[in-house]
Amino acid sequence: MSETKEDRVTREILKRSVIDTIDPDFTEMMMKRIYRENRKRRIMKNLFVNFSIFAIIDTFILLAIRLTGLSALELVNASVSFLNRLLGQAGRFKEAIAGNDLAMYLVLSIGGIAALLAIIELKLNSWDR
Amino acid sequence: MEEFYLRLVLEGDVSKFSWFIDRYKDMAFSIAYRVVNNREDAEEVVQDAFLKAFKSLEKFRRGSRFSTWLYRIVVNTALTRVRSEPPKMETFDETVASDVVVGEVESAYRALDLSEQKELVNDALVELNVEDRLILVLYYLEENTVEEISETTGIARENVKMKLHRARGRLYVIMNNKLKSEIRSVLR
Repeated sequence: MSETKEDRVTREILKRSVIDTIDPDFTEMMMKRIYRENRKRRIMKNLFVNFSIFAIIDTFILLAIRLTGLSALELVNASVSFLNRLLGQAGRFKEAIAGNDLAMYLVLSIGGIAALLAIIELKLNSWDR
Repeated sequence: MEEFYLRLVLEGDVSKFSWFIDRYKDMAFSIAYRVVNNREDAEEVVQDAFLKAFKSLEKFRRGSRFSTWLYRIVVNTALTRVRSEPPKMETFDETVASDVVVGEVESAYRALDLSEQKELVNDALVELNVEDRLILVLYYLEENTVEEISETTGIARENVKMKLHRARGRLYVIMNNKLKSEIRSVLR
């Protein structure tokens, strides 16, 4: 759209109406809100990941109970001793992933699966006897 | 430059979002103020708009202008806020609007001192409806093109031209009426 005389006059007149600028501390205040929002998002994301992983682990545990017929207490004892053995052997790896939540959960999930297999093996052994 | 900062923010360097705030806060405030007509509300609108922009930064289409995208968020946030208020009645006579000669208003306007000029223009803008105010501010103050105004407001390109013309006419009618009543009060 080409600029007419009316456009030039209107622009000049409207420039007079320009209101004061925003609060000089606005950026700082806004960034505090942004940081808060970012922290909230991170927490929500972590919660989602945590819940998903716990759900997977729970599924394995329930499956283990169902398949082996062991009581929850027996299952916990068997899993703990197996995980202790597993994590003890992988001490160096555990140190390497310390502080990394996702990696820890992955290891725990793998541990959960391994525990399940160990429990099944225990059960099979008990049947053999 | 904009692309560079955008990438940094998206990669997790949240502090770099301050670059966008510093760059666009005044223009966003100016637009919000013209919609809500109140300093406190305008600041809140700008805060909410920046927060919305930050949250949906991943949805911003690369290649298009960040400012146009942000202004659209500001306009929508501001309109949502004023929609709860009762709409202003429009009492304009279109034939009168086209009869007002810009030159007449301009010469009377120039006779005023700076503070009177500012007061006159601000009072006239307040009497316009939200859409007229917004289009005038985007076109004349923010120097947006018709295409950008169309993108920001969601009004079709052809309608923007027509509405811009009408809004300008209405602004001059209001300014003319105010100047006339001012002269009458001086002569009395």
